[in-house]
Amino acid sequence: MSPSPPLSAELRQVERCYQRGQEEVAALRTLDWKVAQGRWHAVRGPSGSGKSPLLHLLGGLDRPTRGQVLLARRHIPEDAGPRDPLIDLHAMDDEALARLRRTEVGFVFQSFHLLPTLNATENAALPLLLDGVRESDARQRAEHLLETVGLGHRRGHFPEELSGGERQRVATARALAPGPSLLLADEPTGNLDRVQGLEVLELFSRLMADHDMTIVMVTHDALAAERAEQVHELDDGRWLPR
Amino acid sequence: MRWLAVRHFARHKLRTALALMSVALGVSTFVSMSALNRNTLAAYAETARARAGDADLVARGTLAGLDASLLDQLESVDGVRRAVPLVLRFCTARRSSEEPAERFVFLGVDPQRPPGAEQVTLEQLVEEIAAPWELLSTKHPVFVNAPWARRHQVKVGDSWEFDAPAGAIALPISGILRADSIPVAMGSAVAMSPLASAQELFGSGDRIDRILIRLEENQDKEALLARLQALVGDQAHLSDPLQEAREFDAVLGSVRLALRLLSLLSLLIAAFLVHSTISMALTERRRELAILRCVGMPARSVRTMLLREALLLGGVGGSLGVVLGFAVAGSMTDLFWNTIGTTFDRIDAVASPLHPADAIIGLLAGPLAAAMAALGPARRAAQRAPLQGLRLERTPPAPSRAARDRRVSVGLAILAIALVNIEALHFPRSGYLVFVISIAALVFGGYPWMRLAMSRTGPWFLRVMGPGGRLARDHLDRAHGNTSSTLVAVSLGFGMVFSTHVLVRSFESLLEHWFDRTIQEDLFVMGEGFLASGLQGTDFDLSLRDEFRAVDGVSHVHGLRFNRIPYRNERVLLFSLDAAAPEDSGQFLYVEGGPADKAAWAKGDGIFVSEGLAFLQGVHRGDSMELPTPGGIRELPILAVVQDYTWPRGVVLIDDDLYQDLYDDFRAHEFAITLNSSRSLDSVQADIERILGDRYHAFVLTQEQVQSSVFSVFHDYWSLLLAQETLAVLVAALGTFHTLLISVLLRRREIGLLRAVGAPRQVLRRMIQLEGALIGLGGGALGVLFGGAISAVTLRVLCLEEQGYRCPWEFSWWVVAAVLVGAAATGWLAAWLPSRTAEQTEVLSVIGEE
Repeated sequence: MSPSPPLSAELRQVERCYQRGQEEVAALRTLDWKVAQGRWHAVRGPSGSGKSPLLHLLGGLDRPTRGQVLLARRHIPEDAGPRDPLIDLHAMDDEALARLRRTEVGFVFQSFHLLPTLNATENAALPLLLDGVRESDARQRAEHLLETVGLGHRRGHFPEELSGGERQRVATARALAPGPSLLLADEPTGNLDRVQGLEVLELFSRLMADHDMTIVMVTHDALAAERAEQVHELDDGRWLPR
Repeated sequence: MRWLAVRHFARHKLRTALALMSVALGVSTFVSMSALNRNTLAAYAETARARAGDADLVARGTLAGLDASLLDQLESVDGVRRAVPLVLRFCTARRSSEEPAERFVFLGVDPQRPPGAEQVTLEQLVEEIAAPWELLSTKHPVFVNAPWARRHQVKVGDSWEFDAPAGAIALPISGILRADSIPVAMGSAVAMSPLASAQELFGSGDRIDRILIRLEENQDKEALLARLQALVGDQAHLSDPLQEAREFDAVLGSVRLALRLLSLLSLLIAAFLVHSTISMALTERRRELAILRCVGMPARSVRTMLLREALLLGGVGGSLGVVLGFAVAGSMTDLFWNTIGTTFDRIDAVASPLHPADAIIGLLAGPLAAAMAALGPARRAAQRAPLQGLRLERTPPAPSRAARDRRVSVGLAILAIALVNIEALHFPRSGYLVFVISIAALVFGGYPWMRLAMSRTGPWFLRVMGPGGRLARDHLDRAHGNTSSTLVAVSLGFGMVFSTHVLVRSFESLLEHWFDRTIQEDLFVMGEGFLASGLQGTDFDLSLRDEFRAVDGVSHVHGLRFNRIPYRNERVLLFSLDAAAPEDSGQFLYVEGGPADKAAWAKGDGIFVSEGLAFLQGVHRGDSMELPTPGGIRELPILAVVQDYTWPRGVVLIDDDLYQDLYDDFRAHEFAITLNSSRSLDSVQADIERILGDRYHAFVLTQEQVQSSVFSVFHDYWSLLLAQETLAVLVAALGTFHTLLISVLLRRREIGLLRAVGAPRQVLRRMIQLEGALIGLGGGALGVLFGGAISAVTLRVLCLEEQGYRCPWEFSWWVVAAVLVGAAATGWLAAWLPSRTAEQTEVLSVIGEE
């Protein structure tokens, strides 16, 4: 399984509004963004600035109220829609988006979100298993990735037996398992202490070098943002001028 | 704070409704069975009272009846106000030959000494009566009860054909009695005629069947009964009318016991579901409870609040259950009485099944079960430190291997003790103890056993069933508290199904074997349905036997006579048949003695007794039995003990010649005819029917027809249990549904995460359905083990302890497979809605929850 080539994404006039009672609240306001391939992007901003909704839109977890979220065509399954260099995620049905998430996009969450009943290897292999990869192949790939993130010796351990940093590394291995071209990280160091946070950021740097992927990382942490190649500031659903 | 509970219930309407339904169904099963059981005795008492009229004591004779001179003898005793003679016979009658027969209690009453009120005018007694000149010219005037007459649109002057020993006879309806003027036994199907007329119709000469004794006011009934008994000696057996009810109640003991055990099981199932419901609800509300603790609510208040909630749930559910239970009891009453009435004795169903005691039991059972179920979870929730509650992972950690092993060991040890005890304990009612132990074994050992069976199966599930299967298995492995309760509930439900199958199959197999060996006659002549004809059917004149014998192709004819006689506070069946019948008429299955004893039996040197009678009365081959006869008590040696299941309290088999000598009774209830091979069965049957002709409304049935008639009644009998099983399985399915629904809600984060990493919706759906199927399968497997043990216990109680014979335990592997498949399918179906809920989980709403 060789990693896929870097993925580019584009947001065109994207708006995301939520209904809160009678009131419509805008999380993202007419946002445009061209995500360069093979780069590490950090998105910073205060709470409620729209960082997480942005990430959810890029990962196909959510749909925009208005505008388009486009991913590079070559990474999208053949049956997803008409041929075009970029395809609108809105045109994809629910199952196609699910397939996209288990093949092309990797997620790393602030709260790790590991399954407590699966050990480290099984957690890391989960997207592959869901994609119908043979169990032995999935396990082999997961073990390799755990080695990569420095957890080869903890592969049989369950989440409750791991530290926060270790859990985040298992979550990263899981995100990398399908060989995604886009890694989306939502506050990956938010629940970690300083040392563990640095370890994870170091891991991301290594992955950038080894796997040639695009990383979009949402963070509060200025130190974490400094490790990224490009830092974007978001406030009240709009980009702040650089 | 009490509003918290109400708001919680209001917020989770579906779950609250499910919990209420679980409690209501469990309580309703319990209440309905309790009501049915309670009404059994009441119904028998009512029937006995109705047959006895307002008598304080009843004198019953030996089979040949009572001498009328006893009336004066009894009335001469101080304290006795009246002695009323009665001829009481069961018979059938029909409007015409083409119409179906109705069963009647036919009463012969003396107009000089009428039953009921002493001073009664004609207007008070009769609603409608024939004209005087018609009445005077009628040899056998018959009066029927008004409710029955109205039901069948019978008018004065109509003619009905009554089946009497000498054949069918057309009798005019001469009058319609007021509803409250005579007893209303047998659903008001009571026909009455003058004593002399009834004696002539039923060929009882000048003898009577019963004497109803009315005492003066303020008499010591017991003392007077003893005095009167001493006076009449062996000529009559005096008893309190209610004693008859108690005797029948003893006969029905086994049926009622089975129903009671099953109703207890239903209540247990409900209790487990309530436990599961409350336990899961508390898991879900751990944050809410932790916040309450954080803002200063004492642990004791949390516990009290949760217990109140449980009591409220149990109280409302229990109340619904009581209402439902009475409705179920009402609808089951007819089925119950019809079955019992066909098999044992025709009795009147008690009109209203409502009894305050049942209502109170039901109203208490719901809250009590709920409070018991909530006690543990409420205590744990109250003891949890507030911050722990806020931080706690939703999926509970798996119990340690040591804890699991300990529970498995305890469970298996209890089960082993239970199984060993089935044979080892011989004191009465040991079955109850084993029943309790078996349930304890299931409760303690059930879920650990399943975990043990599932250990190290994770890779297998992953390989064969994919990630959904693996996660389903993992969740079951971990969610021990909640799943355990549901699993036990499912096990109990399907355990009931399996145990009923084993009971039915074991009895069926026993009966089949007995039938095949013992009853080999080719044709049977009987007045009505096979079982009913024996004890409640029409009498035939024994001279018919000679007419049948003369038919070409007939090799042997039994004139069978069945009568219940008192023996040591029981009423056992005296069964008269021809001991000298050839081998091809059937052979006995000997328990003590053997075929060599048959010669002495045929000579009238003694009697055979059934295995059940020998066990219940503690008698053996070589002992003697004292039988009441018109000539006094006769002591007869027991020549052999044989298998015979005709009557649950035991059977005395007596040669017909000896019977006729002792009882001066030349009537038969049935004829069993064996053919030689010279003619076809059909042609002989036609000849027999020709002999019966218009004289008798009798049926000539083949052995197959008789056998199927027996098994049909047998299956009706067990269909009572089917209703309970259906309820139990429904409650178990509801529990599985509830558990899975809450489980899905508790695992929203896990489900959302699976969606986030790309799990298709169908994987989530399959995962939850598989969990349901696994709960069902595990419950089914445990149910087979539990049901197997319970059926062994029940067989012991029903057969050995209640009726005195051994019944081999038998089952079919097909049914085991069917139970497993059925249980898995039930779980799968119960998971349908929860799986839809899982499938529709919105990723962002749960990912963002943290």
